[in-house]
Amino acid sequence: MSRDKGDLLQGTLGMLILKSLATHGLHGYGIARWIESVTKQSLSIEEGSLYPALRRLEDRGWVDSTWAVSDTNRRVRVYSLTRRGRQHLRDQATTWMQFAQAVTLVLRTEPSYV
Amino acid sequence: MSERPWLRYVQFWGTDVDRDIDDELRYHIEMRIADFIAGGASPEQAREAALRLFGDPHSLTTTLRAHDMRKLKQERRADMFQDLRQDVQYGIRKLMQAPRFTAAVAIVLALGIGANTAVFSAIDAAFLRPLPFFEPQRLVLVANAQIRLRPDPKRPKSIPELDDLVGMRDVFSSVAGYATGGLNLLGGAQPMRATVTYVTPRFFETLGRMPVVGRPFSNGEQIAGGRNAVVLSHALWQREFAGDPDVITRHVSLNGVEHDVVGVMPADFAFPDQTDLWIGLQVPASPNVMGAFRNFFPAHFVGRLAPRVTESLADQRLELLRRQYRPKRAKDEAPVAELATPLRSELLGESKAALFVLMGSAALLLLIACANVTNLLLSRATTRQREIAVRVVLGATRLRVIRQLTIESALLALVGGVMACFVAWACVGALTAALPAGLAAIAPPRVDIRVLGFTMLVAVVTSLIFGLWPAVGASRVNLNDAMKAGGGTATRLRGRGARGVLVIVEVSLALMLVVGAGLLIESLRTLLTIDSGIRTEHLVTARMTLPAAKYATDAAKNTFVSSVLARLTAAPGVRTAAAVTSLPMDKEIGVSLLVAPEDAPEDKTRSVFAAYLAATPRYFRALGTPLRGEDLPATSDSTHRVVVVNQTLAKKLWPGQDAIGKPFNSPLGLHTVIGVVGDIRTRALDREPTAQMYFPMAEVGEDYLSIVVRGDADTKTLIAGIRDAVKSVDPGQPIYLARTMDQVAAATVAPRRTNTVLLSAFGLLALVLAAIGVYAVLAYGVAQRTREIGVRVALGASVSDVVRLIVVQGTVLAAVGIVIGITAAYALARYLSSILYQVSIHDPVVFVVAPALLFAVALLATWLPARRAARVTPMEALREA
Repeated sequence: MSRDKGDLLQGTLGMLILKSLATHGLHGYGIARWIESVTKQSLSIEEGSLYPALRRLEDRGWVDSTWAVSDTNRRVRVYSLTRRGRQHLRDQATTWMQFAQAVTLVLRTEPSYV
Repeated sequence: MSERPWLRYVQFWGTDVDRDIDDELRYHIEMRIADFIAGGASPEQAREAALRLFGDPHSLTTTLRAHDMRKLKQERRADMFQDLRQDVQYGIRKLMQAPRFTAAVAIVLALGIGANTAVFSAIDAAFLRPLPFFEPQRLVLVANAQIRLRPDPKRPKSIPELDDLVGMRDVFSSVAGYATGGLNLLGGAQPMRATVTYVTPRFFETLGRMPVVGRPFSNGEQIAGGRNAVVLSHALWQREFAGDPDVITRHVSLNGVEHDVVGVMPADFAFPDQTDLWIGLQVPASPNVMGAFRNFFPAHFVGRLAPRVTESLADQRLELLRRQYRPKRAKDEAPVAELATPLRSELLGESKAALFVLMGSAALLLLIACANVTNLLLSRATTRQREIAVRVVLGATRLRVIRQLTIESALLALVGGVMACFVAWACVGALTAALPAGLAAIAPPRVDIRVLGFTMLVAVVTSLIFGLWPAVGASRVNLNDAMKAGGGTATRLRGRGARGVLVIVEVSLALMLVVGAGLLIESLRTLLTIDSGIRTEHLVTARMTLPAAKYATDAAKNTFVSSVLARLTAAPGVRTAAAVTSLPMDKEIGVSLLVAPEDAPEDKTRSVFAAYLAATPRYFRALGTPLRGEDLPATSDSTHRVVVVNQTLAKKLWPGQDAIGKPFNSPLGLHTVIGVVGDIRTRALDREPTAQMYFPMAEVGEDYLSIVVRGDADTKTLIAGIRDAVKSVDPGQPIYLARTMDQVAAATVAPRRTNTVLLSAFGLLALVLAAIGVYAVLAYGVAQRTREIGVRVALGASVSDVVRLIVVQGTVLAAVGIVIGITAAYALARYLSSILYQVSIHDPVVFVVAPALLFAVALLATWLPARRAARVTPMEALREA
């Protein structure tokens, strides 16, 4: 695992998880797979860290979980977005976009010395 | 898990944290492995890659487990509170649905708990609450010592004096003497008679309290010839000086002598009780001091024990000191018990026994109330069987049902407890009278936070006593029976037996209280029918003290007294007016003098102590006391000095002879007996009359006297008449303690009356509660047995048969209760012996009347249910079914 990328992810992992649940509920492995496929494996996450992150999101009331039975007939815990979680995701995404745009803008501009 | 077996139980429907985490993580890893294998990896490679990608599952499990357990605990706690809130809400709703039941139970509990709270407030004041002094547990009162107001080197000490006590530095870290008397006070809002306490140096310091305004006495103010100084009580300061903060610059006149006001004591410093102001005693004292005490200085001593000195050590040292002054007799004498007594127990005196009796009685009353409420709850539980069965069917556990019912009981007790506080608050005044005045003044009973705490504790314990049994019983529902119409017979029968036992308990406890009340009533009745020696009706009195400065000579005093009496006698509605030095049945301490018949002046065996009194003519006529011989003369004749003696003294001095005409010797000189008067109870109604002798007022010229007036006018008019007469002769002369003789007599039995009234109230309540208990169980039985009775009637039972059925049941319950109760009362009556007056603790009248009364009340209580049963018709019984 790469520590520097991981650090970058610390604050954003929650946001990624919330996004992964935006359309429908997923179990932990499903979330990992989704992030993996969307980022085309450019972000490497230690998959185990998903679970403490999910607990934190659940504690804050952004995510809910229920037990269900999988296609393979196994007990799985399915996470879904709460209403507050959806709102939070929207706010977070907006902030992130603006931030990213600003940073991108800055990085694309050559410094000019007056 | 094994150390917390309950968790397994909880998990039956709750969460298994470990299993959940395990399932979740295992699923993740296994799915990943499966994906890798599907992607072409070997199982070993797939497992290795999956684990690498996942991280360490063990440390993750630990983290998640900690988190989940914490969360589970929080949830569980929240659930519990939620349940509790639900139970409370449900309970409140249930109680509101049955307002009459709730009100009945709350009132019964309020009376039971209230009685206990009220009595506890007195117990608290008497035994628990610290007295308002510094380290009060180290304060003792010292007996057998004196203060000589005019030390005489020619007459050596005969008993220890203050300086001896002060000298015992290793026993008392501080000691002071005090004596209470009365003086005429000028300088306040109006002339008044003030209760004064003369105190020796370091009095306030010994008790550990200082004035809130000004200062205590200086050394200069406590030596002969120093400035006269007084410290005011808070009450006097407020009343007579309007709380003036500059009062310490003012002066007051006491019996015409100027005193500086130097301080004001705090409001809670009422020691000794009734004190209006404290005066720094100066030794040798001026004659003015004696004016407050009528030639007798009744000094008390309060000492603070030195560190590590016990009362018994102080006792021993005081006994040694005592013997030092009686070298001749010391060998034959037994030690005097308790020379040093803790201040609290001294103040409490004989009231201790009465307080314990009251507390015990209140507890009995509460038990009866509990039995009654249990009875009501048992009946109610039966009617609620179906409701409870439904809850059980819907999944409530037995524990949950019990908790629900217990919470309902606790709610009832709480309502009762709150109402009890008001009951107690209303009764506290009466309880004050149950304490000795000296203690009530500094530690009045009050309903404060600790008393309320006690009430709530009692309420909670009470709710467990009365609530647990019905709750457990009700939770044991037989679902089959309960759901069927008509209810379960088995439960009903068991309930009836339990209720029978409760009624028996109630009746027996009530009988104990009624017997106790009966004994006290009998005691008070005996006391009140005692011949006090006077006829108190239509008789009023008032006291006054003639200031020595104004009435210096006997002639001046006599002129004043005779003019007042002349005016009074002339007033309309007055039949007789007279004056005396000390009233019958008054607490005032009179002096006793050693007297002997003239023919045997030196014969010590024939000399006796007799109470000294002085009176004007017609005093005995005013009191209505029979007098044989001549009345006291209005003037004194030095050649023919006369005296009237009472029957007791006449019998003691001249047994078997006529006392009239006999000469006898007293410290006042040789006198001839001219009359023999009936015995009058002097100290109190419950004290045997002592030997008394009456000298003519004109001869002795007393300045401290009581006016007595008998007349046909009503007592208010008569008292106003005394005031007017005194005012018209000397407008500056205050009178005080104006009251009827009935009040004087009543005051001497006030504590007994309070105890009797309280215990009678308890007894009456117990009687009513027992009657309700009997009624409730029989009425319930009739309601439950309507069908049976209907069948009996249908089969030809007559009305009297049916009535007999019910009455016999009630009679048996009452009779068993009475037999148990009378046995218990007989055994416990000895605890009353110390508070009874001339009544046997096994007084046959009380032990017959009380059970008869209770039995009659119980029979009365069976009447309504029996009548109800007699009206049952077969049709009605069928409809019931």
